[in-house]
Amino acid sequence: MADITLSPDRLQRTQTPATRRRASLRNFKAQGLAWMLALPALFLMAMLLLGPLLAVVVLSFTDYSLGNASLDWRGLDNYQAMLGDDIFYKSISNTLVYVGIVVPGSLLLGLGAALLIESLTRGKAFWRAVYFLPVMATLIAMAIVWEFMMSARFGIIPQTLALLGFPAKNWLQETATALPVLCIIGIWQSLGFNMVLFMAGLSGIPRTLYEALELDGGSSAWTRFWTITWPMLAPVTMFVVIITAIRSFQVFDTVHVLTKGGPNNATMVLIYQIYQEGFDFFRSSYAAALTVVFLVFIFILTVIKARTIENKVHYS
Amino acid sequence: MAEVQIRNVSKRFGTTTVLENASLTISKGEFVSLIGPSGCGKSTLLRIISGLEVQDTGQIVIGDRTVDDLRPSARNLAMVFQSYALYPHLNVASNIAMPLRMQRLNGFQRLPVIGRFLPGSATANDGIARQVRDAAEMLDISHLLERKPGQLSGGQRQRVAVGRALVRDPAAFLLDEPLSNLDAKLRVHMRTEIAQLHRRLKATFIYVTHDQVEAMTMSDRIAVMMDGDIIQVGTPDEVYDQPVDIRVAEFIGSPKINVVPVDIEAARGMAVLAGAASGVVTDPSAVSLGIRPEAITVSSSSGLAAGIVEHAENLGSEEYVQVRLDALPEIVITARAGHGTGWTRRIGSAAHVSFDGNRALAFDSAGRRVACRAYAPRHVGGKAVANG
Repeated sequence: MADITLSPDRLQRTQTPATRRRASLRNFKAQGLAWMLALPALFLMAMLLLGPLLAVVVLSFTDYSLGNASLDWRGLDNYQAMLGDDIFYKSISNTLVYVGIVVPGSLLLGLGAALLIESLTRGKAFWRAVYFLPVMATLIAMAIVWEFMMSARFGIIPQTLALLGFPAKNWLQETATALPVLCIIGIWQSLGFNMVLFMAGLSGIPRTLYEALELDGGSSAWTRFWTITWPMLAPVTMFVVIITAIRSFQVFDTVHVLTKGGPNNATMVLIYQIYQEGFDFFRSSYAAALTVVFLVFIFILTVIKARTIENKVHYS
Repeated sequence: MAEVQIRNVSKRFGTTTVLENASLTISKGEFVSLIGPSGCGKSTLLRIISGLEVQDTGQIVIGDRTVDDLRPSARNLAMVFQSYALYPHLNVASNIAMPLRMQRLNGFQRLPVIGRFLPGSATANDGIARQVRDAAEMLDISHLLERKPGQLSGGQRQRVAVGRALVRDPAAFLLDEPLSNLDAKLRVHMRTEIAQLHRRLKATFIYVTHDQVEAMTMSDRIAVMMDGDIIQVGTPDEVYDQPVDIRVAEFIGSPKINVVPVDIEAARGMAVLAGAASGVVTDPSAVSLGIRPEAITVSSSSGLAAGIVEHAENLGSEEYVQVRLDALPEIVITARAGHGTGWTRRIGSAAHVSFDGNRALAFDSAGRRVACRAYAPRHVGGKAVANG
């Protein structure tokens, strides 16, 4: 096998037509072996990842509905219908609002929790576990607990707010407050995960940097944070932003359990609309078109992640 | 710059005593090295001076001010760390500017974009930029000012770290093994540069190292530390020629000093080495003699003690010959032989060693230095004296 790695100029110096033929044959054999070895993984990838994706894209150009035996090619009809669909606009804007609140909210609170817990001398593990609990719990189950807590008649949250003079309402059933409440639950859920990422990032900052800053004359916690902690956490922060954004785009569980997109489509989000169109109304082809739109968003985020994380925010 | 006094400083980590009642005064403008094996407390002492570590007892006085209740940032000391501790997200210019920015700009003026437009910050920033350029020029790193530390070589990073220290006018420079991460060649070069820098700045330097060559070549005075104690303070010559303790003698000097056990002959106080009178008269408490390799003569024909050449190293300018003594097989004597003496070709052959009695050092059973002198004023080959 070593011969294959010969440098090109060396090959040229020694080669006759016969040796060149032998070399290219050997090269072909090696390449063939490589493809053979990669084949099982390629097969699975095609079956499980690329195949379904392709199927969704193809379906979005048809009039297929779940259970039908046949389908017709409809071109861009589904996408055209989307442009006239008020619920689609509503779900896009709701999704963006949700992402726009949950990402900064869970990022700042996660960072705050990480800094506070790191500054403790005792009980770090305990607090870390407490904040991480919502991440480990099944969100569907937790959503049911939230439903009880938000109940107007006996939920702890409306009852407590009533004591403070607010009307005892189920805030999840009010058009104006339903989405913000879902955002709060989203923040509560992803805060712990972000916190753990930030804690890992914090532990990677060399102590001597803080000592150097101290000797350079920077002594306040504020200066330490802005001069060292925040810039040194930039790679982690970028990662947290992208991961939380992708997860927030996929919000479904809480919507499904708590509001079903209501009231009045106030909490209709992209994935829930896909679910409704596909499995409540059996308009599979329209759901497929919505899915393509969703995939475009995720794809953009992934590209941003690949570009920035790999190129910009590393200092080494 | 200022004088730095360490007064009776002790420090314990849990049950381990790291420093025991250490005292040392470093004069204004002096270059003092703290040297010792790892774990001797030298870095801890430096960190206590800087304020990064707090002593259990004792005082640190800088200039005429006791600084024990001051934060590190208020002590006006500059430190070069072993890891350099450069800010990886800032370019070289910003790294060097950091102490000046902390000194001259308030929190609002340091804000990223808005800070520049606040009153007073333009003038301050101009002054800082000028000083950064001057420091960079002095260290020959002007062409690197826009780079990030990650794009620099070890030696360049080291210069930036020094630049960050010297850009302001600190009371003293603290250097914590600053050369230990460099390759051997660069280390020799930077040694010269730091010594020259000290001469030019005439500032107080406190330099921690475990490398005795660095300490010997750069310092005005050396403080040798062992097990949390400063056991000797002196000029490089004093520490090398007149060590007060066998540990100092063994730590300073390369190759290591030869230590041979001796018996003391009662009548004349003559030290007896491997059965032969050594030609050195010592205090009766002496149990061993220390002889530097350059004070030993190795000869193929005659000498004080016979042995076999076990190994020889040719360094070009000189050769080091290791001779295992016939009478004391556990002792290998290292001798320095001149250029081109060809001992490397005579490994395994017989040889004789003798030494200059005037340069022998005697130590008692506790390792303390005791008196000794050559028996006869002339250079002696041992046997003649013993017979005479």
